[in-house]
Amino acid sequence: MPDRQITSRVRLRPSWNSIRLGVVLAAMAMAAINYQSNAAWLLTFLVAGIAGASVPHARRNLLGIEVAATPADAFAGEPIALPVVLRNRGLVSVVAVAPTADVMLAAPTPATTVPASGEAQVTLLLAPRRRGRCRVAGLRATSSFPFGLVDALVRAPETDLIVYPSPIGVTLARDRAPVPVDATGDGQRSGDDFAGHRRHLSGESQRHVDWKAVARGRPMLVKSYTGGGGECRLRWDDAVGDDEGRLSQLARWVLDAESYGWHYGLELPGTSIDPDGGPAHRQRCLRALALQVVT
Amino acid sequence: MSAVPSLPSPEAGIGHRSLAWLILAMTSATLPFLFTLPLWMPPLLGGIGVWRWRCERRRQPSPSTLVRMLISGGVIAGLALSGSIGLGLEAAVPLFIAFLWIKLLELRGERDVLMGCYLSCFLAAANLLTDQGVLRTVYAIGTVVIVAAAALHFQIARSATAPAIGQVLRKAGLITLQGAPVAGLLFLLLPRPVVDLPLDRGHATSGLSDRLNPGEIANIALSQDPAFRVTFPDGQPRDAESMYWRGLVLTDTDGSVWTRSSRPDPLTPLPRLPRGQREDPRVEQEITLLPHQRHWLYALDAPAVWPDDVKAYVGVVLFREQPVQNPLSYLVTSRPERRPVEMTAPYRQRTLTLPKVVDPGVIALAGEWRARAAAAGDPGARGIAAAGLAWFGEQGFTYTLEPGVIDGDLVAGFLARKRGFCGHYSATFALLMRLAAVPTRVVIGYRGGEWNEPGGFVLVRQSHAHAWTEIYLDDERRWERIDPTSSVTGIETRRIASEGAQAIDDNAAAADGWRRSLRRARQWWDWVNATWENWMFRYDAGAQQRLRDWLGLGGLDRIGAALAALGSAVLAVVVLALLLRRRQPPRDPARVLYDRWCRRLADAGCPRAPDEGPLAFAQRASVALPARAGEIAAVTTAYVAARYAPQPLGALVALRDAVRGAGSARARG
Repeated sequence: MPDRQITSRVRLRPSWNSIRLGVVLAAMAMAAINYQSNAAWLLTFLVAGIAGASVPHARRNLLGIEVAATPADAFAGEPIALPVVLRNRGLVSVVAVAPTADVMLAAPTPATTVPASGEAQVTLLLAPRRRGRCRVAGLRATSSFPFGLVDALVRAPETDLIVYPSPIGVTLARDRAPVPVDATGDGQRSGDDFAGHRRHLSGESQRHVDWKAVARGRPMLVKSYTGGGGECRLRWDDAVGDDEGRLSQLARWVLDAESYGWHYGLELPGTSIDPDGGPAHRQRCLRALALQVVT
Repeated sequence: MSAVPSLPSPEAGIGHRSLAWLILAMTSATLPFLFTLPLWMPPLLGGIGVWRWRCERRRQPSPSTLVRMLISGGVIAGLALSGSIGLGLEAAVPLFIAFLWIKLLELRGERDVLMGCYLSCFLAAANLLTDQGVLRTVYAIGTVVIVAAAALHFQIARSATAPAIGQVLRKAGLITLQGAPVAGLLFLLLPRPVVDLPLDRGHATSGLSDRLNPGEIANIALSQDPAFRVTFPDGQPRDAESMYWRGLVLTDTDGSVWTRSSRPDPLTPLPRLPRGQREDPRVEQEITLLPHQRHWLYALDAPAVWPDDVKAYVGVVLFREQPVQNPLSYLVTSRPERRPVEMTAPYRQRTLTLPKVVDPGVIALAGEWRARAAAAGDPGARGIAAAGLAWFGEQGFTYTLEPGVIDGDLVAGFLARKRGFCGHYSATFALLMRLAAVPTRVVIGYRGGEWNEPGGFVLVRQSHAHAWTEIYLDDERRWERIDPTSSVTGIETRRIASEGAQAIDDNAAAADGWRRSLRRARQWWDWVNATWENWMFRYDAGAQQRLRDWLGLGGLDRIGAALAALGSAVLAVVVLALLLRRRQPPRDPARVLYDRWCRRLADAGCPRAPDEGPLAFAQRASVALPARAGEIAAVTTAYVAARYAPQPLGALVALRDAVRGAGSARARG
């Protein structure tokens, strides 16, 4: 992290509410004109003045806030849970701030308060994307404090997501069990022994994530399994279908092989990954599938 | 595939506390209209508020669309039935209030809450349309602060725990104060369009009407509202008690009610008196007439010089083209001595016309007055009037504002009861004089006034409303004022009676002192009102032009002036933004402490390069200043911890201690 003071650049833009207030102010002015009431004029201008004074307050509220998203990998066709951190560098708490992005799912995130010199973590649910590398468009922290007349926003640094092919296809057959890697071969080969919950790792499938816990603000938890050994090679040529279908099939197999606890390698046109296991390897394989260029 | 998780929607609720704030703001805006609403409406609106609040509190869904539509329809029907729907702004207020409150039932998210807030502001302004008094204006500003507090509360409460009442009010008051300069600049500088909008302004009149109906005048006489204020440019305080403020002249009567002519007005405007003519005592007055929605003006009896836009008619009554809908200031010069005027035959006929039915006893009494005048050796108009006043005195007539209901003939009833107020006295006296063949008319206006010491003006209240008569003296060819009320009962009686139920305790000196200070406080309050109205009402396009001239912007046209005003308002917002920016601590506190320590090391001969990271710098500094290696390690560790710690507060304290410890250790060493 650069050791440099970061002052967030707050942008302001008028909201629809300012149009609504404008209409009401115009009506107040009409009444004041009609009745030639200076006091009504005074009140009209006072409301306009308060609206004007709310603009610097909207700006000040977001001064010192930083938005950062931890790049998260996801599968195509599934909502993407993007953890976003709102960090407040100021000595005053930041009120009613919420991260948003252009590609969010229907439900916007509720606004939160970020305490002085503190931070808040919010998980954004983004709409499903297509396979490949994609940018989170318009990720920002916004606030309509104090009167909803202007939306103040601080942009996040550009964040890229890797979206894996959707893991669709035939499940990897267990009996395709290749040469056991483990010399002892104690039979503990099936990867379906439930070993409790563990933290979700970035890039992992979100199929077993406990979403209800996420909604309650808990970390993402997934079921994990222990499994016996085995080794296989997942080949482009073994998968059937068109190019995207093959990538989806391979993604399916990667997940299956990983859940069985096997060691697996990947052979794609122009790319080859040696057999290995574990979350890092799985991510490597899935990213290779995500970024595979098909002709 | 897992289902799309359902996150709690932020639109799910407003929070019962925020809702209570909104209802408070709406109540504050609605309250001034309470008595203009149909009786059934306030309980209904209150019920809607409480109902909606309970739904929110119990997290129940708000009422269904069907229920809402039924209530809306019912309210509209109710308003229509009670005749509370009309065209024009004032007539639309009950409907507006109804919709504002029914909207509560379908309040969902930020948009609806804010719309409720904006509309409450409109309602607060609507209360200032017909009356711009100090209290009303202050109240409206208070309402705006509460509305701002409601909006703030909603914003804060939906992202954190609900803030305290005082906190929200303070913040709302602060933003209001910060908005005040913008408001002031716009008010002073922004040229206001002078357009006659085709909107109905309502017809709520106040003060005297154009007929003398004894019952009506008694109601007015109980009102302490100001009617007009008078200043005398020559600065001399007058004997306010004895002043007659002429309003309308009534010539037609049906025996009890006196009215202006119902026939097309045959009267021609009087020529204005040339200004140079100064043959007799004159009194110059500047009168600020509060809006009474009528066309006529009041002036000291009898006006001789009046403004150009005012026309005077026979009987010396002043009329204006437009009704007085805003406080109106005008200069009038009056002459206590009446000029001789030619009496035309039709006018003599009119001022002698008798009602169709007159009680025989009253006719007999008129004959008795004539006989007494002839016996006294003065059978003329003056003699008959003197005889009549003497008769009233002998009969023991008294003054009261509550004479009770008189059935049947008003004049005969009053003569039998021997008690009444100026309306009864004038109507009766005028009728008797006409029966005695003396041309007589009734004048309505005000009598007296209160000298306001702090403001240097005479305040005439509605309670000073008065009616008197004028008889025509043929030999002097002029009208003479006869005030039967004060001649018979004395003005003091009238004044005390008009003060109504105020207990007078002459014995208790303490109570007297209290009364004096109360009177003094009231005078000051009258002065505050007068100053406010002078300022508020007189600040018009001309005053704006004078201000622009003073600022050196006199040459601007309307658009230029508008742009200048808007520019100054924007500038005020920018200044506010700069002020607010400074209030935000610009730097990370850990960085401030660290920089302070770095300056110390720079003093010791080891400055940190701008792009040098803290760890690299620590390494280099430890080599350069080996004696302070321990200090360097301690501060750097604490700084790194403070910058990247999950809970920076504890780490900050550690850093502060490390920097301080380094300083004190060095000071000791």
